[in-house]
Amino acid sequence: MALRRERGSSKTKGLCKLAIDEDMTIYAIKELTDALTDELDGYDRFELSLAKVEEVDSAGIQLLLALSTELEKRNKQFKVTEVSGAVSKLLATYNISDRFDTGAAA
Amino acid sequence: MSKRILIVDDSGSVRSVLGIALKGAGYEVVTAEDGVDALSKLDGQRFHLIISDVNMPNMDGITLVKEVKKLASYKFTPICMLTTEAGEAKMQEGRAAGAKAWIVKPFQPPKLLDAVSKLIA
Amino acid sequence: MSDENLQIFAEEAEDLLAVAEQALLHLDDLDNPAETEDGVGDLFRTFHTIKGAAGLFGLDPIVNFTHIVESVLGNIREGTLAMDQNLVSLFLLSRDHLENLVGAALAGVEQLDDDLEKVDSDLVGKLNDYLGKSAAQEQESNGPATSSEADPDAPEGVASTNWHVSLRYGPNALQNGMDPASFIGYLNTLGEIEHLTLIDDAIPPWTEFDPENCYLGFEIEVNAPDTTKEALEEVFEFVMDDCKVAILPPHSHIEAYKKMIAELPETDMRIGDILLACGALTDREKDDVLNAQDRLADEAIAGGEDESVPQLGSIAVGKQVVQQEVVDAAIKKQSDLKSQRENAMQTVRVNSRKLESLVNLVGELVIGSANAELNARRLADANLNEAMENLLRLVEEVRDTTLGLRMVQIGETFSRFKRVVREVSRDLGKDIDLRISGAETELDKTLVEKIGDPLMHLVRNAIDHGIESPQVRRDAGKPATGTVFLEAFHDSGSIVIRIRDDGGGLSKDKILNKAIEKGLVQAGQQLTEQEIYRLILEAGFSTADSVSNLSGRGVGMDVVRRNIETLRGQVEIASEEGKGSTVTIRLPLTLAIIDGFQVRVGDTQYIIPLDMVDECLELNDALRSGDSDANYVNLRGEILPFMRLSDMFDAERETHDKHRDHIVVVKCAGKRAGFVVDELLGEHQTVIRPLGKVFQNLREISGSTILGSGEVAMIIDIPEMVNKVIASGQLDFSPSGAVH
Repeated sequence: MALRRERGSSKTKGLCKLAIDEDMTIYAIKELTDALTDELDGYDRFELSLAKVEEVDSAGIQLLLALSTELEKRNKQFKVTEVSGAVSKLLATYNISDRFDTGAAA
Repeated sequence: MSKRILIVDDSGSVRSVLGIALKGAGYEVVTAEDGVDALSKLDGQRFHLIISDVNMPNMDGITLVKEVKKLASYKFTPICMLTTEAGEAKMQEGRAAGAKAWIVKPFQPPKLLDAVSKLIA
Repeated sequence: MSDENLQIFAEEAEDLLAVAEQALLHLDDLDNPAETEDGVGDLFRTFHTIKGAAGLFGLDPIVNFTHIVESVLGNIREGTLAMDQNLVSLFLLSRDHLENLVGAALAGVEQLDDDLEKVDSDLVGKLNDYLGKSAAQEQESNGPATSSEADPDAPEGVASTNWHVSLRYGPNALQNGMDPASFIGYLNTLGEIEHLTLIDDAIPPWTEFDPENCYLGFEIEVNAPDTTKEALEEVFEFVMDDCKVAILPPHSHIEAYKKMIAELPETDMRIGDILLACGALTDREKDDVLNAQDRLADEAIAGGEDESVPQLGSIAVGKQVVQQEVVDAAIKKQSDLKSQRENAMQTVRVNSRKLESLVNLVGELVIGSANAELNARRLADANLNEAMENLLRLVEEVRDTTLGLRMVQIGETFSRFKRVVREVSRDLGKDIDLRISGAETELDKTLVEKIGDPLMHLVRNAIDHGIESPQVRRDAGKPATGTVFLEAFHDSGSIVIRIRDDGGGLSKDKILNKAIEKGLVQAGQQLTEQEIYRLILEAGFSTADSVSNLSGRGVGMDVVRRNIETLRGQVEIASEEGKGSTVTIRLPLTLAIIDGFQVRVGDTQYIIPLDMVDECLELNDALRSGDSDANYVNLRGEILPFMRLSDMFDAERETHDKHRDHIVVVKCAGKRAGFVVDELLGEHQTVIRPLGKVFQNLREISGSTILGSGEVAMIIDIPEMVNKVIASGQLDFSPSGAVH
């Protein structure tokens, strides 16, 4: 499973901690999107760790953009906590590193 | 992580020239002799780019493109066709099938590397 | 920019020129200030808009010229110059000249010819007189691009020294493996990306979001002073199906930005901000761009008078500042024009396989109806026969219409060679001009596809081996620039394509020596000029002294000949040493169905393509001038060689008393010959069937067909036969004595 719910998630607190592992490319993107859709209604705050993403492409970045816009629209919080080198590099290429409130630099 | 490229061409010399140029540029290279061979090499490995000749025995390049587009694990992999100036019609056929990139033979290695880095820089 | 975009410009310019003409014709009463003001306003806008669009395409002659006209009009509008009849005529001339400039730009003319140049400088001189400037000054300042530096208020070039690249990816890009990141990475190797803005406005709400589709767009500033627009365009050639690309050079005209903004899907306010953030536009330039758009919108609100400004609708709606109904009114005329244009261009794309099966079916229909006709005739029922006749006429129309569907103009194939000629001649250090005529000549699409490669080879040959180096040409007293002519025309049922050059011509001695060396002919063998030239069509023949990079392409002239012969065509070569060579290709108009002339020899029936039949005569003693063994007749004073088809095909010849021989006179490539047959059966719609393997080596037969009775008839290959007849007479009967 490419999308993992991490420890610390709590329905009562409304916090959902998620992590994407290894593949964040177009080959995995449908599965990731579906898995995210299942979580969106249940929580108010989302934290996403991308620390273990080994490969990312524009489909992956586009998913991040779609997700953050959607959560903003639903008045939910979204934070990317950690990014891997691959993700960080592509965010920099696209000049959108500051769009995602990464708690700590990777 | 270095990117892996599959070269498909029935000519051994083309395979080796391409292989040398691409390995020299830091890519990992796997070669196949025709479409059938290529499909067997695709099994299980991740590829970032497929470079294929059009006219080959057993299974030609166009058929290969169509077959690759059916494989869940490879359908989004960019495919670059090796065409000739005379192969315009085939090239259009390939593009319609989903192979959007092409290199016209004969070509020099820099041209090849340019095309490759446009696709998987 | 693609030709398609240029075509859009052409249509736009045409509309605007029509508006300008109307405006000028309405300026007949200069005493009416309100009307004059309107007219001048219309004129100003049309010239201004054409200038903007032309700037986008880099059409400098148009930009330079319209700039001056616009300046004069601007002075009139501001009241510093009074409109008079002289000015009206000057503007009329200017409008006409602009039309010619647009025409020249469309024809791909880069350098104005002398006539246009003269009119241009005359008009510019007169217009400049009104501006109080000398023509010389204007020439020196060399148009608006540089004058903008001197005049900070001029709204032309922007300050940015960067290239601006605007990308909007289509949905399939990612699925095709075309990741924008790779292309942007590659772009960074050509120059330095100074700024990049990712546009995600097109990403739909989550429920409609398809993560495998691409919704991304980019506005990029690239610092690449040494690169060219072509090089930048090439970066994106693989994504041409999947991405809208706009590339603006450094210091592009404000109009170019306006135009680009108008074509982008986002609101122009948003793009304006992005371009400002990118550094593509300065604050002031951004205001210029946006205010210009506002002004247009305001004018629309003010009564919809400005109906002819093309971008108006999209901009106004995009900005959502004008009420929909106002915009509707304002763009009504514009959309009327547009729909007219669309109607004119409405086409349906059909898979060529469907077309092929239609042609095959029509072939069957033709055969079937011939069979029905035969049976109907046997019944001798008047009503049935009349109905049959109607039916046959319809079948014939269906046939012609169907075949017409496959006819395409050869122009597109020809124009592909322009680039080849330019590139190859540059590589070879030769100066070569390609002249094309007959681009509108139509032929079967299958033929067009198959003739491309042989033609390419012949054109390359003409450049490589035909045209001499500029030095050699100068020494020979010829213009340094060589010319290759590419011509196409219809000639008695064939299409003729001719590749002519004014180069060194073929050297008969050289060819002969080479042929002897290669063992193609025996030393001392007597050959006609034509036979010598034809040697270069033999396998393994090449006369090039030096191996240039065009040689060794693996295709020789023999392959060209074979390709053309499989299309039932012929190749002829003519040459004059020192003056040039001509290769003439003659092809049948279509590969499917022809009008045939049916004849009988013994009990076999043959078809002669009707287009090649000149006349039919009874072969009597008067024609033979008494000599019954001669293989020629005297036809109204002309010597006409003939041959008995029965001899040619070893058929039994009818000799009984009542029998009369008939002679069919055919014409092909300017040569005439006769064929003696037993009976003339008349016209026959002939569906050409390929020959079986058994007959493939029979060169006198080009195909077969099935007659209404179900019998098979052979189609005679007339060009081949005519050559044979003439050769057997050992005489050259062609009127001019030379082969074209």
